[in-house]
Amino acid sequence: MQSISSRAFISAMMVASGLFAQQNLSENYVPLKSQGTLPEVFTQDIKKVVKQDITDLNKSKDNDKNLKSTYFTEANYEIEKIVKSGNTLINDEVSLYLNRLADVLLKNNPTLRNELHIYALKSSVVNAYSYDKGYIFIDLGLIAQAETEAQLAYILSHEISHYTKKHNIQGYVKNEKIDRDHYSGKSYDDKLLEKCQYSKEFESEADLEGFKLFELSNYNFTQAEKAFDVLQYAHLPFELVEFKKSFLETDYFKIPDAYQLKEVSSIKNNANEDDSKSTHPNTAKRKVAIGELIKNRNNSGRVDYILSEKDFMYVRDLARFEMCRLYLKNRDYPNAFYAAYILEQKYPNNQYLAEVISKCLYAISLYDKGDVRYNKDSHLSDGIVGHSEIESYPQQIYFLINKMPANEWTIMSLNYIYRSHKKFPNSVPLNAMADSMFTLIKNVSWGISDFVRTDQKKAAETVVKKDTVVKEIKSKTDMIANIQQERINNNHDTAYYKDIYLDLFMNDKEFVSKFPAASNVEFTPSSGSGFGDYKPSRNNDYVKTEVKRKKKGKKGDNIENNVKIEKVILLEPFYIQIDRAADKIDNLSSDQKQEKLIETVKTIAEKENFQTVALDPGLLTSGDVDKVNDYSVLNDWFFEKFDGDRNSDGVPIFNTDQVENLVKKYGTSYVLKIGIISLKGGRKRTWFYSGIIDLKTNKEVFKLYEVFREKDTRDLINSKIYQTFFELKHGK
Amino acid sequence: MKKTLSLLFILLIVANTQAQVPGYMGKRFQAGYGFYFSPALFGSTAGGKTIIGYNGNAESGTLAFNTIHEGFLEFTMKKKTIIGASVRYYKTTYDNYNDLYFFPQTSNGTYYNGNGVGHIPGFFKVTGLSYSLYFKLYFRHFTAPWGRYFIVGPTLRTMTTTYDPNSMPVQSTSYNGTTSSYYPDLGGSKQSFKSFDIIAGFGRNRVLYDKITLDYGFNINVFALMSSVLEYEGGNYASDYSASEYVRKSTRWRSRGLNRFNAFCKIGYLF
Repeated sequence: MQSISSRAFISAMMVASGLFAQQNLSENYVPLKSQGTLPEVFTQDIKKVVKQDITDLNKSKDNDKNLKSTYFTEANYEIEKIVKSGNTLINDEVSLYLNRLADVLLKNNPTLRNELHIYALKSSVVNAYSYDKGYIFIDLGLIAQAETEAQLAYILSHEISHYTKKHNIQGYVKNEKIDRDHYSGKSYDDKLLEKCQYSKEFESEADLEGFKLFELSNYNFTQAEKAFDVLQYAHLPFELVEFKKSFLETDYFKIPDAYQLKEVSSIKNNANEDDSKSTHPNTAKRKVAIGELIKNRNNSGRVDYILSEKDFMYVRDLARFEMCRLYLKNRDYPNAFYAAYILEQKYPNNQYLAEVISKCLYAISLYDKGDVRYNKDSHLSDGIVGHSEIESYPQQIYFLINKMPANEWTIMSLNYIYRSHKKFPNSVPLNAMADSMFTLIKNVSWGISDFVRTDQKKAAETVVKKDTVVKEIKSKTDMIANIQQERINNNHDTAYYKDIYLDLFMNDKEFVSKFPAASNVEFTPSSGSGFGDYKPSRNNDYVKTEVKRKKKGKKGDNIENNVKIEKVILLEPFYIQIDRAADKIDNLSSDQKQEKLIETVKTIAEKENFQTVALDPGLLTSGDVDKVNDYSVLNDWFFEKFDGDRNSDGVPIFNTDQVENLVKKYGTSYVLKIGIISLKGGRKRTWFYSGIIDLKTNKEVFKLYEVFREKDTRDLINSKIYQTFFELKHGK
Repeated sequence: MKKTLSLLFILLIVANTQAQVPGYMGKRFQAGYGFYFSPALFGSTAGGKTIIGYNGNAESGTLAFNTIHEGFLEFTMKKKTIIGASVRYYKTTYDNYNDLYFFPQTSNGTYYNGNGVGHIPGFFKVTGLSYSLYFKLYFRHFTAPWGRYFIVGPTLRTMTTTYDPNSMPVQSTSYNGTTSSYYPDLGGSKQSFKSFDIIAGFGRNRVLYDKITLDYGFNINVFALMSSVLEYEGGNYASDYSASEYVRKSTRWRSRGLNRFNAFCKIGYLF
């Protein structure tokens, strides 16, 4: 276990070596990554840890040994799962900052400090979690919402108190006892109320105990009270600013006022909501309880910042930048757009923000076409909701998205994305997205001849120098000039977006060359959105979409029978064994079988001269931090692609550029995922899945999914793994 | 023989040096021993001498089993197909007296001693060897040599019968109740026969410790089963065999009795 001094020394060394030199957010943002040496949880044998915990438990005099031994098993695996999920940030700027905060809070209690492992968690949720082993995870969503360092310190104090009071294990034991009480005649609701009541008591105790810890530092007491306001309005964006449509406008493009929501709804106050079925007391009660403590205390001389306001603001901005990423990952494009818009006010020349906004515009263009779907299994099952379901200024974004017809959105998106590309010419995603937008624009009912319409006055004043028709057409520019002149003469166009690309057509050769010529526009009129039959190009799309995947063979057959692959990235094989009698996952058994599975996969791959690059947090050494980051990137990509989408036609958007770097790094674009789920007890069932995704084409090129009405025997698993590699190399 | 062994050796080397071949983790060959057994029902009477169970004869109400021993060699051709060859061996006796009626007909069509029918006491000793070439076709989701399969292939049954002619007098009873005894000419004391059949069945292959194969299931000899059903009459097999064909027909009947339906369990080594 590191001591405070050694931890501080390591942090100082990292800063001194430039590893954590602050990013210049006014220009760009580099997503957070884990750094340095991986903690012990990555390398330890979890089975031994569980065994040791249970051995220690058995030495004690405890009446709940059975329940607690189950808890130790589940809690250890849950902690490991979170830390290794790819969402936990290790030794990054935010986690180190949180640890510095803990150093401040526990400067007089080094023993307790050394028991804690504090990490930032890549999640947009506004929450924090504490486990019995001293693991505390703080969501980036919460850090993005915090207003001061003191507020964050109080929240951390609260979580530390959960740990010191052993609330996690007590809560588990209590809940299990309530669930197993079959003789009291209590209904499900009665049990739920009882559990919630117990949980609320823990929360209230953590609030008060946390305050005692907070009080030991010199932080401003009132910030503890204000922390509950942060929680109260956690459902709102981290800041509320008016969204002005002018953000998307140019000299040649003005969005009609009808698309701008002028009056937004007020914010509801739910502080006193019924909390009887909640695990936490409502914020009003919590705030009052803390208020009572503050009332009689002298707050003079106490401060909002002990470390530094600058550091807090910087770390919070990092969390806010990450929020843009997380919203994108969750396909929550309106919130990603709004978060980036807020940050853009502070960092108007930040390339990353332009990329985020471009991705949102592009994704919504696809969404309008039905290529980005939210199905019933997705956490965003209703798609982009109506503005009336949102509060305050974010309504304006939702209103614009829902009000603006799809073709107009596409026209506007190309405008923003292309201009961003010109502003940040070195941005790969912007360049690629602009190219994709040129493909999408083909489906808009307006051809090139329509976009070069202009009125006589503007033409005369600004752009069009020629007053006669070019007789000999030598280039596309000549053709445009001719069409323009004809339109000037006819003067029949009225669409507000008619001049949107005017300056680009006249002054930007790249734009002109890439814009689809009128003669090439393949458009089939359709009722409704004004889009034709969009068939995305597979050659130059930023996102390789496939509207309708042609399926070959029956269910369970390979998607491409003749695919032959010799190198893959092997992404964490999984093995889940479910105990039917206990109705839960048997973690120990699953862990053992997973180890065996990984070993088998490696053995067979090596035997057959098949190159695999393992990206598996279960196989890492303390120096493999790069692999943790790579695993995280791929995991995010898969999350976005497959979330709630059984047909796996999801269109990954948010980290495609990072994925492209991985493809270059590992020399293959194929990712192999192998997994087994088995049931034990009662009827035996085994599910086997192996699949390969081509990161370049966004396509599932191989799939073996089979269900067996039998036990997960070694020969079953070996046969299926061997079959996977055999078919990969030889085709079906 | 030398050529055959050389060919097999070359085949083994080629099969195991190829990268990425079908089979269980690349292993394509199985060789091993199989044990076949079937309940001794009609046509199976053996006087308790060759089958499991005392006085084994299902027709007399005692549970008994026929047994056959097999050696096999199998080769995984494709992901779902195995080709195999096997030799099955059995040695049994056949109690004619309890099972088979003899119509003592002479070669010119007249009956010995009138129209009486009778039994021939004594045993035939039958030794059989069956040679099979078969294919195992694995079902959906399974891959050879693991999983459930359908087996089919031609088989050649050879059988050799020996008996002691002096122990086989016919006890014939005429219409008027007169009993007489004589020794019919049943041919040589050692006779060999052949018959062709088709084996078909279902089985399940398991692989233990990546080396040992366990195979269990059942199969039938299609023609043997069909003819048994067609020729069975009310608990006894009845025919009007002449003396010259008595040994051949009764031996084949016994052979069909052993082979028409069997459950099996095999153990093999995977390489």
